[in-house]
Amino acid sequence: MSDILQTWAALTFNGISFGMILFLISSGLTVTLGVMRLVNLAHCGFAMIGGYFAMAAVDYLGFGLLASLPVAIVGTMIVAAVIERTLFRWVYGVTELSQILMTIGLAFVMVALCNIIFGPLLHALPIPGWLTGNLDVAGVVVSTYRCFLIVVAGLIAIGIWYVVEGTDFGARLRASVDNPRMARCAGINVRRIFSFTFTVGCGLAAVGGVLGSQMLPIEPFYALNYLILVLIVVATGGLGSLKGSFTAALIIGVIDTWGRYILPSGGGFVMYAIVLVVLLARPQGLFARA
Amino acid sequence: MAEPLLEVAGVRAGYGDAVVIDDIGFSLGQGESLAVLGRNGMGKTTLILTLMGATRLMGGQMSLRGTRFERLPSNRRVALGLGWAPQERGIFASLTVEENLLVAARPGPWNATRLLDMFPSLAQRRRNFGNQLSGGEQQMLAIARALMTNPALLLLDEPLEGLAPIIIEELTATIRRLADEGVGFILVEQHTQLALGLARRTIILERGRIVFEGDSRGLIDDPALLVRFVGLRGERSLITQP
Repeated sequence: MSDILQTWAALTFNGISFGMILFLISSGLTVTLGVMRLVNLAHCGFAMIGGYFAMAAVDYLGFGLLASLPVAIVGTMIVAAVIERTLFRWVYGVTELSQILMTIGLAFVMVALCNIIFGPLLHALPIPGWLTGNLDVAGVVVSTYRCFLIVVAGLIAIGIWYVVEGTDFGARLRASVDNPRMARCAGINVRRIFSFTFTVGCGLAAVGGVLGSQMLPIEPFYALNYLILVLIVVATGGLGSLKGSFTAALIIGVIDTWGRYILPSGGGFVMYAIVLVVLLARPQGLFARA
Repeated sequence: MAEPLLEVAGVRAGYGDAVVIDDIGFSLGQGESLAVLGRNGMGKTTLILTLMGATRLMGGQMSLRGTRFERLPSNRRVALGLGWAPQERGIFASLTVEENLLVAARPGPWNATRLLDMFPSLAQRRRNFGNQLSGGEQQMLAIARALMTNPALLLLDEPLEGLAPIIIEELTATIRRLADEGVGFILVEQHTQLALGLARRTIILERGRIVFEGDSRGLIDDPALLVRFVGLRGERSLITQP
């Protein structure tokens, strides 16, 4: 394989791994925004909280990255469940502007609290020795860790797909999304399904926060810094469509990585230009729900 | 005297500040059937929606088998024994026919196997998604889904609206069969004659209030009442006796 091809293959591979992290973080927001009609601008804060839980487990309990992951998931889901039952419950029925004001306020509170507790420094969680180094995949040299990310995120995506499409819970969730009033009148406890989905979505964000910390370092402004990126994934994919979020995250991850390689100084804007074109052509996103 | 299945007293409800039904009161025994008639906009659908908890209740009481439910959310009303087939059918578009049934399943004699036997056209399309069904099939699915909740009382809101005559015939036979099996129902229907033929009792709503309550046969025998309240002539030849 020529050097140019190898370079582009490696870039694409890195872009896919970045996209997988974006998907993990954004999948919960896809559901809350598209399904529950909740504009949750504090969503990235849950990825950040997951990262800090893992960091605390590594620093204070001596856990490794993988052992800290369950701590991060459970801790974040508990925080999410408490916030959902106390704060979010009040904003489900209010206008979108009120939701935006409340959730962005919550994001600022998260930023301030993490700044006070953990300090302003950037943290990348240490990766285990067996995940360091590179692999040769069909003549392309790729990071072992990024391979691991793609496999793990891919398995999680398959798991999400199976739960949504192949289980009774998934059928009730889809019914609640299609027609919440009818779902309630068919005996489905829509409120409980949404609460559970919200909590699990925050747990998935925590997974993204922890596993992606090498690419998106944990820091107090994480909750705001990556919000735009995650909102772009959700909007481009189509509100409420997990398939759309998955596709959009991969596309955005790859295009962003390519863009930064082609135009190192302004490559970050390539992704925005592509997204602009996509949303002009399909304002409802790639896989908008009917 | 046996406790009524459904008791509604002094119910006042609507949307926002608008009152659509007022001072509604009636009761229904186990396995009884009731037709709700009236011109368009008189509050028939609002009455059904109020029973299901989908309107703003401003007053009154509702109980099913002695349990008050006016403050319960819709899903708990279903658990209590109300099953609803809405006017707009409300089929879950992203679910297959089979999934549409299974999401509503509650313990009892009605299950997916029995209902797919009852509606062979649905059985043929069990793997099709809700948005791939014809209007008649959607209506059958709406009724079947309501039955999957194993209701004590079935609420049917214009189940025959916009359907081809052959489908109307099929659904009418189904509703009659349900009545024969002791399933109580409240039927809102524009096909006045059919509704009178299916339900033993009838109430007529005018401007959100009950202006007639009595035996359906009384209306069949007094077409002038129908003309007065519903604006239609009761054509005896079309009426099937309950």
